Amino acid sequence: MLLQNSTNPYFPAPSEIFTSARSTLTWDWVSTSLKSSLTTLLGGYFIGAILGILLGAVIGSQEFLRAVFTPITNFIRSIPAVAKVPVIMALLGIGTASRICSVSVAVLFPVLMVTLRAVATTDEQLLDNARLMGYGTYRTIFSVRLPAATGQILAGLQAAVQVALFIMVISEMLGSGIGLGAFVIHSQQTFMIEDMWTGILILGALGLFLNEAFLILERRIAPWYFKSKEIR
Amino acid sequence: MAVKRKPILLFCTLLISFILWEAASFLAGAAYFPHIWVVLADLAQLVISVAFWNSLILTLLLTSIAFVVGVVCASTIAIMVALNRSGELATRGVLNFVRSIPSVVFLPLLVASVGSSAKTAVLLAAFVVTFKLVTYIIRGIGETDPRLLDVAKVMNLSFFTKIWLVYLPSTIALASTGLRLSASRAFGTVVATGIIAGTPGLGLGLLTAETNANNPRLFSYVLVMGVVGVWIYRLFTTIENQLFRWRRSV
Repeated sequence: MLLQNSTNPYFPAPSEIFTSARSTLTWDWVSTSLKSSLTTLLGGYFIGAILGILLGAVIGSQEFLRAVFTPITNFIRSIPAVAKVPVIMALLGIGTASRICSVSVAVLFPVLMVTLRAVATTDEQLLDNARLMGYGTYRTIFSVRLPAATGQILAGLQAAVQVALFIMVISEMLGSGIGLGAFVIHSQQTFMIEDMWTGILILGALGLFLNEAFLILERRIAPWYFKSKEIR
Repeated sequence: MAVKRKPILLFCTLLISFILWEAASFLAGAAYFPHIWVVLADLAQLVISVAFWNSLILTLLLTSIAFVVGVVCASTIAIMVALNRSGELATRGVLNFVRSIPSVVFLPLLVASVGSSAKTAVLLAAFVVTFKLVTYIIRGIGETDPRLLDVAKVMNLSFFTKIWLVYLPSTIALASTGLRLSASRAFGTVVATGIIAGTPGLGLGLLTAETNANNPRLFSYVLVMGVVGVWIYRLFTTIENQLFRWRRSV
């Protein structure tokens, strides 16, 4: 409402943004920019999440590995995710592989740390039962430790969605020339402020959609964890 | 439970870090992923330069200013929203939407309207802190014990006294987690602003190293940022553990 009759060039009226969006959002645009962004986001997210869960489960279940690797992973996680992007670009260039790798690395360490902590604190009674049933190390990890840690891992995965989106935008802004991040920065450089706002709103909607989708998924996969969160 | 780090474990950690680093250097090529000793030699050169300390101090200063501004804004918004049921319902959707937008996407807008300066970094980082923290404070206020509110009503406490004596103590335990996470995010945002928009600070140093293809310097900056990141996290965890001894953060 505040912006309805706006004459500020940087904060155009919603009607102007809507008009601009209608002309910008063509099928071509969707099949290039949006498709590229989603490939980066989903590809990077799934690779990072799977590696994070697997490494976290293996490291978290062995006391020696945990003691040795926790400081290393803590240190790498403390490096702002954005600072890792130029390093990956220096190694892999500015193509799709580099963008997917940037998102994967950004997702991997938070997920790894959450899994590591969750797996390390598995109920001793469950572990005793697994030992009595003659489970080996890997069967214990996959049949006992990981299922018991599902709730915490899901919380970590949900937090990682926002990190993935953030790094997707940055990796696209830093010279890729394609994707939503590149679209926003290109619109600013060519003074197409309405287009820039279109990109911002699409990214907001994408973030909101992913968050809500994750909550639905969480309710399906671990309803008990969701209920305990509501009680808290 | 405090973990006693034995010297042998520390040695193993260092050894494995060295092996992993050198393996990466071997696989990627030393020109792209320099040897650890090359990076450490460059780091030693970097930390004796005055320009480095200026950029480090500036980054920390910008982070601190943004953090304080963000905390004040988040507290004000949260108090206004959480103490008014209809206000909370009306703003929930907007807050969720704004929180879902990756903050860095506002950077082009800020650069266009404010320019590429330290002010840009502070504004963006303050925005990030505000929207990260506001939900924690709203949740904290929402979890205030209703009996305490009844006591406050009986004692006829003024609005500000009620905030100081009732809401603040109820919120602070939850908000401290938000403060810790926000501080790290503020630092990351100031660095991101430097890398993307070239605002002064550590981010600009890293951007310059990348532009000049000076990979040892690039890795030196990344190591410095890791140390600062660990330091910020530790600082807030220590404060949190000192203030709330009954619930330890890890």
